[in-house]
This record gives sequence, C-alpha cells and structure tokens, in this order.
Amino acid sequence: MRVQAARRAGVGLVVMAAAHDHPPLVLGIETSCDETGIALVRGQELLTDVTASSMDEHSRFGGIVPEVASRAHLEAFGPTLSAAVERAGVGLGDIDAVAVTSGPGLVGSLTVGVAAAKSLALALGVPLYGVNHILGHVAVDVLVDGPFPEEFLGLVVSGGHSSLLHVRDIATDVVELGQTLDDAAGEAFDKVGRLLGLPYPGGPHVDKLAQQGDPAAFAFPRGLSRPKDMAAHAYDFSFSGLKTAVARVVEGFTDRGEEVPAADVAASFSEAVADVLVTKTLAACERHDVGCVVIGGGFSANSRLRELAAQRFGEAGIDVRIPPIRYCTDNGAMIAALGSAVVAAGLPASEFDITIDSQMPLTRVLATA
Amino acid sequence: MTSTLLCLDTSDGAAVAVLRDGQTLAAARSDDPRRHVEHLAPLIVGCLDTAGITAADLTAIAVGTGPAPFTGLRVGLVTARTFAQARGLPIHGVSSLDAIAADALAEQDVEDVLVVTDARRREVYWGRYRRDEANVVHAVAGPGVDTAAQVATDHADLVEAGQVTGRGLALYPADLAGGVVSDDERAADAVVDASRLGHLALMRARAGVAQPTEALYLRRPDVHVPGRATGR
Ligand SMILES: [Zn+2]
Repeated sequence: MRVQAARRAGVGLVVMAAAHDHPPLVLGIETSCDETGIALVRGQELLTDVTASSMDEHSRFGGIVPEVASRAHLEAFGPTLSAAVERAGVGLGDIDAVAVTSGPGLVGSLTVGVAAAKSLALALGVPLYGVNHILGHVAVDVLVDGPFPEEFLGLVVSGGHSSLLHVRDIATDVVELGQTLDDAAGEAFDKVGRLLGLPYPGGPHVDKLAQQGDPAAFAFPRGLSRPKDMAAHAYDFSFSGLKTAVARVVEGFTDRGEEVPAADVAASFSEAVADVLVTKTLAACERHDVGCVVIGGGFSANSRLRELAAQRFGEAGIDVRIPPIRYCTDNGAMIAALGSAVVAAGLPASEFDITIDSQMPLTRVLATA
Repeated sequence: MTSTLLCLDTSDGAAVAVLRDGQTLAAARSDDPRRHVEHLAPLIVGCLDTAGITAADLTAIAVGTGPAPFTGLRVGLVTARTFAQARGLPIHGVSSLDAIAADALAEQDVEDVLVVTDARRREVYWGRYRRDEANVVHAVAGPGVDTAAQVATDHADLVEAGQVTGRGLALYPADLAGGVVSDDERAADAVVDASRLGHLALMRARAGVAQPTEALYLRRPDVHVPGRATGR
C-alpha cells in the first residue's frame, strides 16, 4: 500500500519532485480540542504521528474544560514537536510546509496551535496552511488506504460534528450534502452515557454496554427519516429527539422503581444512531451514483457503526474505507495529510494574519484573515 | 559576538522589538488586547524587515510571561518558545509587570511604583516594585490578582503618592488614582515596551539569573464545560 501511495504522490507532484527529488515534507499541527497532535507526511506517506492528550484531566469534570485544554496545549506543544521530528528521523530544517487546524474547534485550543504554526513557519521560512479540521478527518484515510477514487462520500462523525460530504478532490472540490441540525452523533452518546450513569466520555462505555444488549428491545426514533423530512433534509441528521426518547424510557423505569435495562437501552440507541447514519449515506451513494464511502471522526470507532457499514455497504457493492481508530480520533496526521493534499493541489499559502475560526464552514478548506 | 534579540509581549496588546547589542533596530505594536493570534506574527515579520535581518540572524528570544488574560498570553509564549525551538536559540522569560515597572521608574525621581494591569472580571494584576542603589528594579510584593479596591487598601502609601502605573489606573481611577484619570500618557498606555523587556532579559542573563517561560496565570482554570463539545 505504501509503495502504491508513494508512486501516486510522485505523479501528482512533478514540479515539486524536480526541486526536491521527492514530495514535500509537510508538518501537521492539530489542537482543536484536547489533543495536541503533530505529524509528518511526505506526499501520501505518513512518517510519524505523535499525540499528547489532556483527556485524563477532563474526565473528572464530565466534559472538556476549555482552559485546562488550552494550558495543556501550551505545555505539550514543544515536547510533542521534538518527539515528532525525532521519531521521523528528520530535522526541523527539512520541513517544507506547515499545516495547522484553523477551525472548527475550541477558541483557546485553536489559538495555541495556530500561533505555534505561524511561528514555526516564520522561523523556518516555509509556507503556512491553515486548514479545516473536518476535512482532515477524511483526508487522513489516504495515508492508510492509499489514493482516493475519483469521487467518494465522506461521513465525518464525532463528538463535535456529523457531516456527509461529496468529495471529488479533498483540497479543491468538496460539497456538503448534509449535517446534524442539533447534536453530533458522539455528543448524543456522551449524553446517553450520562443518562445511564456511565463515566465520561460516554461513547466507548455505551458502545461496550450495547454489545451485551438487544438492539431491538426498544423502537427508538430515526431522526429526519419520515417522508416529509426526507424532502428537505434527506442527508441531514438529528439526534436530539432520539436522546429525549432514551431519557423518557430511562425515566419510566426509574419512576416505576424498576431497574433500567441499561444494556438493552444502549444497544437499541446505538442501533438507531448507526442505522440512520448508514441509511442516509447509502441513499446519498445511490442518488449521486458513488461507489465509495470514507468514514472518519472519533465516532467511527463505534463498533455497531463499523459492523452495519461493512454489512450494508457490502451488500450494495459499495467500498467502505474506515481508518484504524487512532486515525479517527483527532491527530496531527489528518492535518498533515490535508496540508499535503493542499500543497499538491497548488493552493496559495495562508498569510501570517489568518485568524482562527471556531465555526469554520466546510465550504472552506483554507483559513482567511 | 553580536547579539540579536527578538522581544515579544502579549500581556495586553501585542509588542515586538528587535535589539542588536542592546540597540533597538525595530519596534512595532498593536493596541488590540484581543487579536494577538492575528497580529503578532505580522508584527514580527515587519520588525525583521525593518531591522533588515532574517529569522536566521537572531541569537536569542525574550518573552513576557504575564500575568495577563490567558488566551493572549499563550500566543506570545507559544510563539516565542516555538521560534526558539525551531532555530535552536536560548529563550528568556520576563514578567510583563517587571517590564512596566522598569519603564516607569527609568524616567522618574521616585524609587517605588505600583503596577496595575487589566485582569478583566473587575480585577487587576498588580506588583509592587523598588529601584535599588545600583539602579536595578526589584519586585517587593506580588505579582497578584485582586480587586482594585483591595490593592488600593494594601498599597495606600503609593496610591496616595500617585506612584501607580499601568492600565488599571485608567480602568479604576476611583480606587487607584484618587478619582482622577491620569493624563500621564505612559500610564494610560497599556502595551508593554518590548525593548525595555528585552533589556531586562539581557541584564538578567548577564547576571546568570534563570529566566523560565512559565505562564503567570495567577488564577485556576474555570471549570466550565461547554454544552457542545467540538473537535474530536
Ligand atoms: Zn475531530
């Protein structure tokens, strides 16, 4: 896979190759939430990927504490950078470009990464690219599964986002087909985890519990799936109604003084989320005649989503690409991969006055001033 | 050997200077106390251009460590630390209040000054300073964070004598300036003089003083979990 990826990158980067003998070395920086991620990518080959997380500090608060995350980014940045360069066996002076998450994400966290990226680019005299975090969740798959097909759908699901994208070129041609109108998929899992008295973050705990339950025990709603919703919101998602339905069921048991069948609730809830994500993505594949789906974002670690995607896309003859879990959660590799794609596409570098954008829209791959 | 120092401070606005052997080659600043991440790097680019040098010509970095509002403070610190790391340069951390005090006492007859800056949330960061016989400015008390009224009570002697400087003076004149808004331009000017900060760093480096770049937050983080997590 690596050989194939390298060859493909070489073809796409003829101009760069003439100057460098090999594709440019791109350093990616990710600090949108609680993970300080730094990675080095050459063309479509991942050299190294290092992540420091402050999650342990947040779990006792039941959620990400923005100021705690920002302080941790400041302290983790230098050591993470050193480790990345050392493990890749390169020098800082070998870096050809710096890519950084400009948004979306937490303001304080993004600020540390963007300031560091500007400083690094300035100190090394190399171009800077402020890029979109969500697109990074799709771009990273190229490092694992090789070059993308001519077009595909990207499903990005995490604690912060649930978006369905039609991608012809990750750097230059992405159309958003739909997104969540309220909670993100992972966020709904965290909330249901709380309802069931599970520790934060709820996602993995609910997933584990669900594997022991009956997914058909409760008929939970599939948001925005009725015919009238499908007219206006065919590829949009909504998980807040589902979360309310789960709360009502849990309350019912509690009010009657009965034990909550937590495993069955978790399994039926997981089924509802996975079902609606896969069903809508499948419908979009048929509508746009696309034969490949890339799933990314922290929530793609969910076991039921993986199972159901493999099964139903498989039946439909659609190729599914889901990177290993470590590349689904936030990391530097996703930003280095997207940066590398942006460089390969010949997009102009960002100016040093670019801002961070906590609500950066998917229509924008690069940051603005 | 020539020393070429890049000096940064983001404790209020953003300030940048380049010193060569103690002489200011370039200085630039932004008064905006919120847009550090946008303004700081262009200010550095501008100063290097004005000084006619490149990043490769620098020999050390000096940075203000606060106390200051957190998000802006981190912009200066991560910029300075990363620059130093990328170019393999020594880095010196200097309290931003120290730089303001040194600036205030440099041009006055008095020996003592109270520095008060904007800590937001209706409080000030403060530090009390004295210049000794050798003309070196030392912190006598602080840094701390408190209400202007409390600081005025604790340092009534300096407040009554009018020996107070920093943005806090203009923000809380009733407490810190006897009700009179100071017309002293320097006192009203909240942006740290980056050259002054650089001079302090050089002097302390020569004296062998350790100058860590730990952020002076002076407050614990608020445990406020947003309703909607992002990222991940
Ligand atoms: Zn993410």
